[in-house]
Amino acid sequence: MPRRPSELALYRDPMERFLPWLVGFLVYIAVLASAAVFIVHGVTGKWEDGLDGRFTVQVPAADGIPGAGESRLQDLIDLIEKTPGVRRATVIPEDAVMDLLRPWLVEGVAADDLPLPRLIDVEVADPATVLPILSARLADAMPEAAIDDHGAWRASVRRLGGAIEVIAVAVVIGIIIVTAGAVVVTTLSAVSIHREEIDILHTIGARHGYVARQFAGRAFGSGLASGLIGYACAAVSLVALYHLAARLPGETMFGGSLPGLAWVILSAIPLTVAALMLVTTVATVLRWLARRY
Amino acid sequence: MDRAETPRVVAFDGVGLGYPGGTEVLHDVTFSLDSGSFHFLTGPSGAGKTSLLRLMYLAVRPTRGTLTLFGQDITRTSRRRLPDLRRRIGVVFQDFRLIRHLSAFDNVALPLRIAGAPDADVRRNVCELLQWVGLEAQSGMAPATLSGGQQQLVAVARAVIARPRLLLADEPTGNVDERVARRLMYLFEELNRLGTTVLVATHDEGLVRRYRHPRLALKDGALAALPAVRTAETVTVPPRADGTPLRPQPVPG
Ligand SMILES: Nc1ncnc2c1ncn2[C@@H]1O[C@H](COP(=O)(O)OP(=O)(O)OP(=O)(O)O)[C@@H](O)[C@H]1O
Ligand SMILES: [Mg+2]
Repeated sequence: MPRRPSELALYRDPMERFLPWLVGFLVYIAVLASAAVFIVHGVTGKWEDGLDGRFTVQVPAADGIPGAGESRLQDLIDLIEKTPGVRRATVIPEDAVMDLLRPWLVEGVAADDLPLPRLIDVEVADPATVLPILSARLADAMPEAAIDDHGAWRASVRRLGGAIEVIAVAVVIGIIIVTAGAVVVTTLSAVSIHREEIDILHTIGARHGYVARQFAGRAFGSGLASGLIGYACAAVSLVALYHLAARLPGETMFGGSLPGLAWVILSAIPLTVAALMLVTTVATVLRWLARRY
Repeated sequence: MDRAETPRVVAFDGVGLGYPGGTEVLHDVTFSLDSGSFHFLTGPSGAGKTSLLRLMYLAVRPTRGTLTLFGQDITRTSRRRLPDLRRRIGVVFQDFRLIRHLSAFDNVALPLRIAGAPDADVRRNVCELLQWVGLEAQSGMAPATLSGGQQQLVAVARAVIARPRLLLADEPTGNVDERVARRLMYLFEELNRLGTTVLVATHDEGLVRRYRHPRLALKDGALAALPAVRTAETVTVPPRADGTPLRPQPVPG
């Protein structure tokens, strides 16, 4: 038995043919933008975890008396390590400090030539309780030592992450609006192209729902198909980016891959877009029919 | 209430119709069609025959007066109820109005599909009717590839497939030869015998004379002569609720 034909030859409309490409592309962008949120979340989270419970104590260089500096430093480490909650305190060797500074220094300058501060890396179990106690003790013993808990750095990381998320959400909202708009325009063009057939169906006793269904099935099917293609392309792009990032030396923005849950959430995008197309199409057709008949 | 018992299928009372931005094309039209009656609608070109039929198949609403269909005042019926009324009406349009990209088969199948008939029933009924009008060989052809007469046959088949309570045919024999015209008239009379109220708009005086059904004569948008009241002499058989079409017998001779 031959398949029941579509009573409205929707596939013949130029707009209907263009829409899947647009939707596929928009889904591609939406998936990448959402993936960016997961990536940024993962990376900043990792940075914060790395910093959590660690901070640096800065001791200004003691003027001209090298020996005195070392013993002062040892006293300070004893003091820090005796503070309850502190796990470990280690002096960062001067060479390491030099290495950190080297990019900003003129060639050939030696550590001895500079009044470098000494840095102590401190690891604690619970920064919230230990930090106030430690600051008080340090203020008593050596007022010139400063504690850096990387607060400024953390704040900037959080601000950056937040900004990226806001942009990604804006991109997704923009895509929803553009998709809905394109669907409305395409549907209006389709109903006006098929005005005559719709008129005939209507005269024969078709309800508005019957006409709307003819558009709905196609909208959902083509939305889902092009959405899945957009999703597949985005997935390929992301995997390719990981492989390229994995070749970079050291820790990169892309360190690690997207968790499985993220892929599941991302795969909801083509489904959501297809549903959005379905709802928008039906609403547009019904509104048009209600005005006309 | 069972609408099949409503004696008057159509009742016009002082109906006027003006198209938007135009002058009135129908004035003070008052008449009624009894259930099971068969009328011709005649009048010169531009008299308003098609306009009168359009009122009856609910494509336009009267601008004046009251129009009652199947006992319901359609000027007061909610729009949600109209599809049900439309499904009881079969229309042969003057310009056929077949759907271009659908085959003859699918065009004829439309009313049954809209009414939600199962595919197997649709197939059986449509094949039977196409065979009866002599179009079984053209069943898969698009309207554009059919002759004018064949298109008209498809249009007639589509109008009668769901066995309407009211059949409105606008120049249904305008494009076919004498023999096919007789066959179509036989089909209409057969349907009428089964209880369908029939109204045939035509220019063909020969047709009107040969079949001797009462006539409604339109002239310049008004009824020229009131039709003689004619009750159906045959028993009125209400159509089956499942929308099965009639199964006409071949024309004898
Ligand atoms: N859609 C419309 N808008 C405006 N005026 C219309 C419209 N349809 C018909 N008319 C006018 O209504 C009048 C009656 O037209 P109608 O088609 O009802 O005549 P008719 O009796 O069916 O003619 P014919 O025998 O040629 O088919 C005409 O003067 C026509 O110009
Ligand atoms: Mg006409």
